[in-house]
Order: sequence, then structure tokens, then C-alpha cells
Amino acid sequence: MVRTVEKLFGMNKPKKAKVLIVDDESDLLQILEDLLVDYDVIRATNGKEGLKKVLTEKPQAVITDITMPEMTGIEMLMKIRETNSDLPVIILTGFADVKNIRQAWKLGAFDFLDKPFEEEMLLSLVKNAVEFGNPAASHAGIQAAKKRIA
Amino acid sequence: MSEVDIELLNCFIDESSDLLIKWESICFELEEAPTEDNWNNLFRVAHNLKGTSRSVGLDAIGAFVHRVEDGITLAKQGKIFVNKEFIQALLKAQSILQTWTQDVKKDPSVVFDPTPFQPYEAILVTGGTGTTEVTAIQATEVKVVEAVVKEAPVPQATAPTVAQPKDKKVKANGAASQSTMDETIRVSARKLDQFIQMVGELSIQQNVLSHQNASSPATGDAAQQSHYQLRKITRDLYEKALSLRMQPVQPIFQRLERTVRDIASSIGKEVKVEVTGGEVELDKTVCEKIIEPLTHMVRNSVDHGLEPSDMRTAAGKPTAGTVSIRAIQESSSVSLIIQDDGRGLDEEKILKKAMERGLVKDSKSLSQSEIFALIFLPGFSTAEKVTDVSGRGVGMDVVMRAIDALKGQVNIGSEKGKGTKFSIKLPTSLSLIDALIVKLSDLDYAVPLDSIEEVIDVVEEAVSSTVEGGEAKRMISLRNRVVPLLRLDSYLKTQRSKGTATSCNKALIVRLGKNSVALQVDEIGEQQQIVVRQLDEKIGNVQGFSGGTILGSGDPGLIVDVEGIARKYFLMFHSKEEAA
Amino acid sequence: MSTETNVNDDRYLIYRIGDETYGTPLLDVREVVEYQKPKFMPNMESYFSGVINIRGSIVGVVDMRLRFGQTSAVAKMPALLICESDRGSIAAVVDQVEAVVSIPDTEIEKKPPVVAKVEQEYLLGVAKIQGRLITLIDLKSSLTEMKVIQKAA
Repeated sequence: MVRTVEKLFGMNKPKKAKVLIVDDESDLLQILEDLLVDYDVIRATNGKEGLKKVLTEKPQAVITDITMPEMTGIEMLMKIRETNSDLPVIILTGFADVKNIRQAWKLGAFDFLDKPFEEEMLLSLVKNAVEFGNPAASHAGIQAAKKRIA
Repeated sequence: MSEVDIELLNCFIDESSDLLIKWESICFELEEAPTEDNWNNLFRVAHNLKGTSRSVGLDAIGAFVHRVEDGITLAKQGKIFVNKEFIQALLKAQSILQTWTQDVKKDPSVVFDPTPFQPYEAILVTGGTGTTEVTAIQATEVKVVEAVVKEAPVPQATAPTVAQPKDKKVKANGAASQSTMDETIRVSARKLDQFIQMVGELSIQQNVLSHQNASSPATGDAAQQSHYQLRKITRDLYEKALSLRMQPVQPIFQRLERTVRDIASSIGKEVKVEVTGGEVELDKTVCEKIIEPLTHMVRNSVDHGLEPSDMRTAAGKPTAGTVSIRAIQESSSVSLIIQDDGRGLDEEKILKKAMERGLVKDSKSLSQSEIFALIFLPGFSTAEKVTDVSGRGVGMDVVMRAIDALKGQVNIGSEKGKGTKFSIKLPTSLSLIDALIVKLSDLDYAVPLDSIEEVIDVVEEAVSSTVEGGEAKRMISLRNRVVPLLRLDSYLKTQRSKGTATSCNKALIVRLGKNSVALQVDEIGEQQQIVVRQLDEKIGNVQGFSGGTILGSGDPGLIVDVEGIARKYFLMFHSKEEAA
Repeated sequence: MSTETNVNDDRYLIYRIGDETYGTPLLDVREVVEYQKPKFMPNMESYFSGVINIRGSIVGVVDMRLRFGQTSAVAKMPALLICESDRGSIAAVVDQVEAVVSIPDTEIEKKPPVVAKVEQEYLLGVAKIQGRLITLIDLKSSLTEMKVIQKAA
């Protein structure tokens, strides 16, 4: 019975995609969560916790800050790429953060969201990430990650 | 916005050029088949471009591409009406980016300006917003677009042969993009050229050695053996080195395809483009220099070659004209073919125009191919009305000159009412050719072996002299033909050409289409493999020569353009004959 | 003018053409090579002597002695000055290369009253060194802009 109801619901409304947000500022986490109403949002407050949740929760996309205690967003991305070449990771970046952007792109980041960001941009990036995922957006960084894993 | 340093910028230009080529070709695919795969591919390309631009600090480009990305997402999800207009917007975005990358290459301070895209901006989102109410204007627009879209599948259904090679092309492209990612390395063209130059010098030295060995052979089998080996290795090495400069013609063809589509839509003709042989490779320089003449030729095909659709219908032809662009690999050359199924060249009109312009005095003696060749004369244009498309003062003579400079040959085949076919035969590589050394007034000249049909002995009995138009003309009978006999040195204005008659008892037979000429030389030397050196601009435009080389003796030598001389003879001959 | 880039370098290559002494900014001359007999090339101006092989590339040769209206009498040690521009290299035959000297700007008479032979636009000035008059010319521009191909008859 329950299954049937779910199925009915499911036909009208597809299952929400799971998105992991990682940041050490709880204010920002709250803003992100409020904006991502169409997604099933999971939180983490640093890279280490984020990495753990990637493995346990299996999100479809990740949004992460760079500067965080314990493990930075870049380090987390690096770790994620050791086991998962495809997971789209969106990096929150500050003004003129070209060096970090370059490094993250090489590591196979999916996209970059400049702070302060607009709601539209955030939703657009997350939508693209869920829609196309990293296999579609495979670039040199992803190729390299794939090779390493293989 | 962050500062972008030059090195990163170059990095970006490098990477983006591949992506932009793919962007364009995927758009063409989408026009035929808006499949999910194609949308994914286009998204991937746009996304990579965005990431690459962000990673070098080109945020303005990142933001621009992002807007396109959003449009692609909407299109893939079916939330937006995809039509020709939408694809046009995607192509426009591509061309804006391409223009900028080309401009910034010349001047790094050029700022990316997305304003030319403004008229298209709305197209990328309209499907998302205007779902319920459609205004009258929008409705008509959509109708027109639908009409166009309806026609689009026709070539797919009726001409499976056309679709087939295209599919292949896509697969090849896809495979290449997968493997090139980590199996190629980028080398600067300058370094590569230095390397090739040095291998060229090695090859020259090797030639010098062979030359000396021939005059005073090294003693011992071992020395001879190793000399032979060295020669073989040097040759292989040189060929390998040259192959590093080879590039597939696909990007050129893609540009031509684009040109055809753009012109067709701007003058309101319906045109189908068939492209095959994109994998055929040509030297980088040849690729760069052939684009312009080819563009001009396809432009002519669409603008003048193809009839307006009402005329086509009246003639019982399919409404849509076809322009096919092909590349065919031959043993030591590549043929590029541009063919249309239009009205064909009109011999009478060409003749009439040529006579009006004083290019020809009498028409009787000209063969069909000679008449066609007239369109390559400076100042000749077959267009009845000057259109925006090719009425820009650039005639086929410019095309001819460009192809000449690449040592190419053009052949025209045309049948009235059926179409015209231009075949351009180009040497695969410009640099290494087999040449025959000939002596003229004590100086050695190199003649490309490819241009010589045969070498004959000039026997006095076979030579007949006539006086035509006040000028002595000599002919020599060659088997069943009689061909004009010319002294090569009179065309080169060598120092001693005025008086002293040397014992010229050899002649080179040079064929140009159906005609041949015999060019008399003083002496025939050995056959050598020579490295073609481009003469610099200053001395490079001397009539009668196509380049320079270093001969086996170590002396500089000039390469005689015997085909050019023959062509000049035939062109001048017909007008001179009557002028006198 | 090509010398603009060399404003901080006051060294000149001093050479002789016929009886006269000339100087050219040192950095405008890529190299000086031993004379080799140029190979004749048809359809060129008379002062264009032909082409030579400089390490595998073909370089045109202009006989400065003929260019300046003097006869090209065979000198004891003629030399070739190679100038390079973005349009390629070109060599100039001179009678003898003498020295490299520093000539400060202050020693150069920019607008000398009479200097024959050299076109005004290529004349950089005249300097007097140890009593000898040296005509300073912009050899590179002069060679680059020189017309060498004979007009078709």
C-alpha cells in the first residue's frame, strides 16, 4: 500500500536529489539550505565531515567552501577524487580566487560559485550538476581522476 | 575581475580553440538530430570552456558561457522550443567567443565584449518563460521557424548516403576527444619549426655528402653501406618530422560548411552541404593558407553557382541546391573538391565577357577547359549582378594566386545546367620534393619532377619554324602531337639569353590540362631530393620562380615554376596572336 | 625606424664602401659573415647580386657599392652584413668591416649639410672620429625597404 502511494507521488513529483553542503559558517549553511528547497539537503561543517558524508549519504552533488578547519574544500575534493571520479563538486569562491579555482579545476571541480552569490546562479549550478553530472562535464581533471582510480 | 597573465591567456586560447571547433560541429549535429547525447556533448564542451576560462581568471567569459549553459540545460530538458533560431543563437555565441580568442591573440588587452549577443540572449530563455501566452508576433515567428524545421529532415530521409559519413565523422571526433585528452602534448609551433628546420639541414648535409660520394666514392663496402643507411634514415626522419606539422582538414571544412549556411540564409537560398574526407591531413601552413581561397570558392558556388529555387524547380531539380566539399588523399597530393549542382559555367558568357574585357580576341581556337580557365584571369567575374556576398572585388584570380603559391593546381569541370566542380590538387607537404636539376646559362636551377611529364631530345628534324603575328614560333613534333617549343631562359631573363645560342638539345615537356609545351634547357643534371625553402617576401615574388632550395653542392638554387610559365604562355598566346 | 629600439646602445659597426666610411647601429646587424659569391638571380635590379646560403636559408644580397652609385670594384676583403627584419634576412656587401665603436649621441651631427649617395630618410647623421668623417646610416631600414625586383617589362 505504502509503496503504491509513494509510486503515485513519485509520478507527479520526482524524488528530490540529494545535495551535500559543506561550510564552517552555520549562517551560510542555513541560507543555502533555505534556497535549495527542491533538494534533499545534508550538511557538513568541514572537509573531513563532508568526506564522510559523501561516502555514507551518497549525494548527487556537493557544494563546498574552500577555507575550513580540519580539512579544506580543495583537500576534500582531492580525497573525493581518489574514489569517485564523477561526483560533481561546486566550489564556493571568494573574489579573485584564480589560483584556487585553477587548482580545483585541475582536480575535477564541477563549477564555481562566487561569494556573494545570487539565488539564481546557485540554483542554476546545482541544476546543471544534477542534470548533467560530471560524466557529462568530464574535463582533463576528471580524466586524470578516472585514470588514477582505474 | 582578476588580472589575466599572458601565459595563462595563451593556455586558454590553446584549449579553447579545440572546444570551439567541437562546439560548432555539435551545433550542426543538433540541427539534424537534437538527441540527448548531443545536448550532453554540447553542455560538456560549454562547461569545459567555462571552467577553463574561470581557471585563468577570465570571469567575463565564464559568466557569458554560463548563460549559454543554462539555455542548453533548458533545451535538453525540453523546456524550451528548439529550432533553427535557437541553434543559430548557440552558433552566434560560439562565433563571438571565437572572434574574441582570435582578437586577443593579436592584442592581449582586448576585452571580451558579449554585447553582440544581446539580440540572441532572450532566445536562450524564452522557452522557459513564455509558456502560456504567445503574442501574435511570436506566433508568426514560430510559424516561419517551423516551416524551416519541416524542411530540415528531408536530406536525412532522402539521402542516407549523406548522413552516413557524417555519423562517422562524429564518432571519429568523439574518439579523438577521448584519447587526445591525455595522449597528446602541446608543443609550440616555433619549437616544432626549429626542429623541422634542423632535420632539414641534416638532410641537406646528407645530400651534400651523397653528392661528394658520387663524385669521389668512399672506399670500402662498409662505408658505402653505412652511407646508404644514413641516407635512408635521414629521409625517414625528415618525413616523420614533416608529418608532425600535418593537420586534418576537418576544422577548415567545418568553417566552409558554416560559410555555406550563413550565405545561404543571408541570400535566402536553400542549400544542403555535404562534407567528406575531413580526416585527410595537410601541412599546417597549407591549411592556414587554403582557407581563404576555399571560402571564396564555396561562396561563389552558393551565390552564383546555385540557381534560385524557383529556377531549380522549373528545371526539374530538387529545390535545395547541394554544395559538396570533399578531400581525397592521393599518393603525394591531396585533392580538395568543391562541387555544386547549380547552373554550371556558361561558356558563351565567359567568352563574351573575356572579349569585352579584352582578355581574349578570338574565341574559335579555345577549348572548353581553356575557356573555363579564363575565369582565373585578373579582373574577371562571371556574376551578372553584384551581390553583397561575392561582389567584393575579389575575383578568382586571387584564388588562383593563392593556390599557385601553395604549388597547387585547379581543374574545372562544368556542365551547363548540371553543376560545376572545382578540384584543387595540393602537395601534401610543401617542404620535400623530388627535383631535376637543369642548367641554363651555366647556372643550376631545380625543376619539380612532378611538373615534368618527360624529357626529350630536341632533334632539329622535328622542329618546325613558323612566323605568326610577326613573331617566330617554333614547334616540335612529339609522337602524334605538335607542341610549342620555348627557350626556358627567355622566360627567366637570364644574363646570356640575349645573344649566344648554346647547344640546347634537351627539352622538358610540361603539361597543363590538355596542352603541353616543350621548354628548352642547356643541360640536364641529376635528380635530387630538395628541401623547399620559402624565399622571403622581398625576393619571393620574382616571376618564374616558386621558391628556393639548397642544392646538393651546397649552393643556393632557385626552383623554376615551369607550370606557371606554361600557363602564362597559354594565356598570353591567345591574346597576343590576335593582337598583332 | 629600426634604431628606435636601440636608443640605449651607442655602438656602431664601422665599415667602408669605396673611399667612404659608414657606420650602422651594431644591434641592427645580426651578423657579419665572410664574403661568398652570390648566385645570380634573374629579373632583379642591378645592385641585387643574387642569393647566398646562410646555414640553410636563402638570403638575398644587395651590393651596397652599386647601390651607392660606385662601381663594384673587387675589394681585398669584402664582407657581408646580415640584417634581419620581420620580412626576412638580407645581406649587404661592403668593402671592408673596420671596427665597432661607441659614438655618443652628442658627437653626432644629426643634420649634416651635405651627404651624397644616401637617401635622406636613411641618414642617421654624421660623426667625426679621429678626423675621419663617418656617415651613419640606417642600413636595416634601407635594405628592408629597398626595391630589388625589376618591374616586368
